[in-house]
Amino acid sequence: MGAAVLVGTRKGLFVLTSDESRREWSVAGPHLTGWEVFHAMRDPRTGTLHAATNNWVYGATAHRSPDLGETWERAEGIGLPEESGLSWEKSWHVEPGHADEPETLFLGGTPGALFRTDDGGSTWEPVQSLIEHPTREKWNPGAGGLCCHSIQADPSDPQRLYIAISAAGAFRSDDGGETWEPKNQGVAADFFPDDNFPEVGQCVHKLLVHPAQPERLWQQNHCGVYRSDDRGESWERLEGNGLPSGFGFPLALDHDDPDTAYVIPEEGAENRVTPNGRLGVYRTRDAGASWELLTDGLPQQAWASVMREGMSFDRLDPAGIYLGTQGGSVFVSPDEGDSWLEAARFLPTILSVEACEWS
Amino acid sequence: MGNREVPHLEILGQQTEASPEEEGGTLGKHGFLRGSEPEANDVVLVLIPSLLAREAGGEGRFELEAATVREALLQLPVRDLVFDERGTLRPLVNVYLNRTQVDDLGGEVGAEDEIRLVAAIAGG
Repeated sequence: MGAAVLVGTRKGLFVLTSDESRREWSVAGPHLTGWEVFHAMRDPRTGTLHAATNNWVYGATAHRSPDLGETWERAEGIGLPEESGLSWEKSWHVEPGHADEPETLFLGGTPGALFRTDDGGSTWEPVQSLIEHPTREKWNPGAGGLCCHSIQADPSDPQRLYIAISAAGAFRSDDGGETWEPKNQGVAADFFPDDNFPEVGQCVHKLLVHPAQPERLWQQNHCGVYRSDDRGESWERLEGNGLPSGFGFPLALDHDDPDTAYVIPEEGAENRVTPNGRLGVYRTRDAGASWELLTDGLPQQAWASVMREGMSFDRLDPAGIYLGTQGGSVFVSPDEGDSWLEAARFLPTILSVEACEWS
Repeated sequence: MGNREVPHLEILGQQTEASPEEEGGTLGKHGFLRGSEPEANDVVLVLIPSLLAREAGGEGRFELEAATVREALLQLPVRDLVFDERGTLRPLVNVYLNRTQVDDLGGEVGAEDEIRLVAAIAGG
């Protein structure tokens, strides 16, 4: 079994492969030339590659490959109902559904919309309950548009789903997507001049469910890093204690240890570069009580930025972490962040990295 | 020039007959454009850019029976990339009929006509 990283860029999809040591990497691609690949992943249930793809002329869609990128098939007919008054603008994230439903996947994007497929991606249906959500009029687009960028299926319950939208906040469904409840209690929206803790309107940048302890959620927000231990009912703000800033985009979780998480802070909303002119990953091993800076092997003079899909975690032992910069470099840590190496450079602007098995 | 018979339209697997006003295509239940199947029209040549050709299985030239430009374009296997979910031509797709840019997709076409799609030019 080998290691691979799917790297979505402004100009196609690249595949980095290595053996389990993850020290030497080969770059293949680009696949899907002409397409902006906002996110790509390999479905662990089926082995199929899926990509959320956009073109500035031809619109937003999704592609899949059953043969590790040899051939690709485009999903046709992704569109929002005319009566909604909404149009599908950008495909942001494609996510597998529950393990027991291997043909179910979700596709999120702009304008704050979600699609579901129950046939492995041949046909996609809009999730009507989100289109008609009673709080929609209070949602506001962030700099990237009103994007549904985070989708998480609870591994312990096929009916429970989480999504996050910038800037609408986090939502949970306990009925397979029929209804959605805002889950933003305790999450700040400092950019509102009147109410800093509204029901909706929070600018979540990334939300993840811990796979081994699914009542625990993490989010990197426009206004801080947060953890919830009660499925989003309440959130605790975690920055300070070592983090130079609460602002950032990517988030990665150790699949085995619910107390370990990784973030890459930026200076702030008005200057979106890594702080102090260097690229550093911050790790907590105590559920956010403290954070340590990891820099060994990372460039120490760098004003980099890593986008919300730009960090990933593999399932090997020891676990590997991956990040991709807007400058086109992919950095790999084969030892849980203690040391890093540059696996590729001069790729197009990196929009996403996703670790997967490759065999 | 081809005749002006009303084409049959496929709406998510259902065969229905369009009104003349809907000539050449209609919207599915989610507003998505489905293709048309015109009857007994002249054959026109449609040329598409390389990205669309890759999405069409490597085919960049299509000989299609159609009475209008829209009818021809709706038969393309990449029609979802040419038109949006409302059936509107995407704003950065330019259509040329015999090397003249056209805005009216209802314009009639006939034998030996050539339709060419060109993506708008921009840097980046």
